[in-house]
Amino acid sequence: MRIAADPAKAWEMKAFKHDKILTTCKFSRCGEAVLAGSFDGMIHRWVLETGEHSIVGSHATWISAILPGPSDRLYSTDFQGNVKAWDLATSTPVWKIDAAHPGWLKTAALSPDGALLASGGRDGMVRLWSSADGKLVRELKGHGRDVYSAAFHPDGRSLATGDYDGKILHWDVSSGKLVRSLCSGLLVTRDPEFLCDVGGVRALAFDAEGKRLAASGLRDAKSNTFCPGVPAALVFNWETGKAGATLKGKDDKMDGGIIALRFLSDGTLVGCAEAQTSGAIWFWKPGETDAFHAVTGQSVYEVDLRPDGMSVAGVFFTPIGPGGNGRASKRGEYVSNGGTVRVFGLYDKPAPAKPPPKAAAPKK
Amino acid sequence: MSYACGGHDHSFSRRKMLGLLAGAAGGLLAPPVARALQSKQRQVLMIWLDGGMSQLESWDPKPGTDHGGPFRSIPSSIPGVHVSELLPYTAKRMHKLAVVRSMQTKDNSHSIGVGRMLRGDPVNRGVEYPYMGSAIAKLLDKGESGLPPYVWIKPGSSGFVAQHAGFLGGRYGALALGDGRPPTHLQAGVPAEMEQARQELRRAADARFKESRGEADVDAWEGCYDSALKLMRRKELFDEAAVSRADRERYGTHALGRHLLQARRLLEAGVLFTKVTSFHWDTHADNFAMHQELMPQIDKPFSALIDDLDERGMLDHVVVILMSEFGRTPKINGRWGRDHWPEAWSLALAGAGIQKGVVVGKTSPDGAFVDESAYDVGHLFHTVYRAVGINSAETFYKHNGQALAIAREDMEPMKGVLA
Repeated sequence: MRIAADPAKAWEMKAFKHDKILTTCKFSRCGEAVLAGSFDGMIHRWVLETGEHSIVGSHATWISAILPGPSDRLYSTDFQGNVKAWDLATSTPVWKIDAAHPGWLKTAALSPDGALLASGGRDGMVRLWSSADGKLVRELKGHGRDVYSAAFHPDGRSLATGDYDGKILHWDVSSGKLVRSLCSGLLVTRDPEFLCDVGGVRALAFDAEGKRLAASGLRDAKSNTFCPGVPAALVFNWETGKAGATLKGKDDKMDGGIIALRFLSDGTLVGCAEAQTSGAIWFWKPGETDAFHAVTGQSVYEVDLRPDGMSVAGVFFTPIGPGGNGRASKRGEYVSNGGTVRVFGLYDKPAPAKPPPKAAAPKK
Repeated sequence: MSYACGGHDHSFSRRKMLGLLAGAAGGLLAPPVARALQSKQRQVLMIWLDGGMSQLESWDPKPGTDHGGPFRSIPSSIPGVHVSELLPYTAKRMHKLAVVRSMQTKDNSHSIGVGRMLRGDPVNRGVEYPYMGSAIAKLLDKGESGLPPYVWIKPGSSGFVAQHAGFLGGRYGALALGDGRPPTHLQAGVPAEMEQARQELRRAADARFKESRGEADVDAWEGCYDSALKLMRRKELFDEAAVSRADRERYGTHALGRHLLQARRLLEAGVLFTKVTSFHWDTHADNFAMHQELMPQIDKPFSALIDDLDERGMLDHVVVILMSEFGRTPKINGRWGRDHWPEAWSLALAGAGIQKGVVVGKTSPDGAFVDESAYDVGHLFHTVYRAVGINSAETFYKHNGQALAIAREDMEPMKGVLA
């Protein structure tokens, strides 16, 4: 009998540390490894069972997204607009797109069949690429500003993309035509006192049936410096385009945005949030606005579900050495902060295996 | 009495202090310098990015290093010198600038750092030193414009900020123009006869008040009124219609762009010291997305300003300073922000008396520490004073009978910055 995932039982199965900040993570399609992008431009792979670490490939700058695809393909993007495809089995490059977007490539998503890769960047453009060879399939024009998030509908025919202005656009994938715009202006704060807007639709996710679209970020930011605000998520009825009540985190003290989202198969929404001194993975039941469970720690930048739906992985910020406003640090002791991929089982933590009974002492 | 000595009595050279006081009325500058400057009054523009612009996302990029951030560096108009890709316009004008990459200052908090930096980190002599704007207003000849010598363009409210003057007294304070707009009464317009009657009444009241009270506050307010009166005769300086569409596009319609354009107009009109402040550069969170938004707000209008000053021949007599109270931590925090970092940061200078196309100082490969030519703000004050023709080693304020150095006596001008 299949056991249903129960986030309230979340327990840490594994933790893989790195001495640089990790930006994103995904489970491999087989579920046997977890992959993570990093500030050092490397794509890291840890085998869950053994903890064995290897490097799949690298970019010249920070990794912004990694997307495992069918046939052992992995796609990666970076903060300088580049896209690369890798053969995971051999850790060798397959193709690359130089400057898919000028500057920071802020989001990428893979179609359900793995045939198309959607990318969005600071140029406000959404581009669809053939995942087979990296050729441009079509451009989608409609966003006026940075595209921060993208998600394909499970049917593969629609794409949702979210931007800095708090706008979500619904595209017809086959024609590239804009179908409609969904409003989530809640997720951007515009204040004449600020030097710039704060927020944007930082994450999008469809549920398994494609009936709901979740969007998240930060609302009611108080400045463009510390960017403190209220973490928030909205769930749209995909058919009507209307959003329900705003979802809240489990901790009122958290002041950063919800920057990644996933749905469990039972409709439970999973989101991760960052904050100045803490972070969390939160879980919401369908129809509820208050998170019913939290896994806490430092800031979390990405969450992903294991293909079997029984585990989640998150990339957590990991402080190394003194931080904050500084002057007292010494040369040689001033090192960058790090990151940790933490993997949580969403089921009862197995009881520790009993040690084998001691063999009876031989009689003298 | 702590204020009464006015005019040049507040300042005098060490030689004069040693016995040549009788000749002090002639001014502060050594005669050759004074002669050289007679043709064109030196002026100063300070651009203050409050909160701390990131040196790694601007003047001193370290791509590919642990703390370097995600952005590229791009070549500049100085062969072999790169700046952040977030400064594409300024990169093409680097040959007109002097960039100091080795600022090493003391404070990592805004509350102490801003005041200390703007006062030149003076040695504690039991007095409150003036901000650079007030000091320049005191130390340099006001010129013939008749305009307030120290104008501060900033977001928010307008008013006269006497506190900037420290022990120099309120008359050397800053005339703050909130959002670059003129004083309210200037905007409304007052009939000349009515204005004259009002001023006569005010002067009479001031004179009577002075008879029984201290003079300092009254003098400060009189100075403020006089400044306003002079501005009232120059309404065209604030006439939006006089600004070309091309200039609006070149400088941008955001606050910093508009304020830098207004600063250019005030400099053209002869204001001695103009400060432009932009707040909210304190990017403790989302530093990289924020700098993508913030840097264009300085890159493009700063470049336009440098071009305009150059084309008008004003870089020959205007010193431009672009700085913050400190830089930002190389180390990236949990919200992908950078915190305060006085240990190693950058600023830029241009214009009168400043070398063109030089980069001074060097930081460690990871950008965290200064490897060559560490400079504090005292060095900067010496450098700016020398650039405007003041011998900062031999010029002193006189206050309550004590000689006070105008810049740190244990420091000197930055090497390689002065032309």
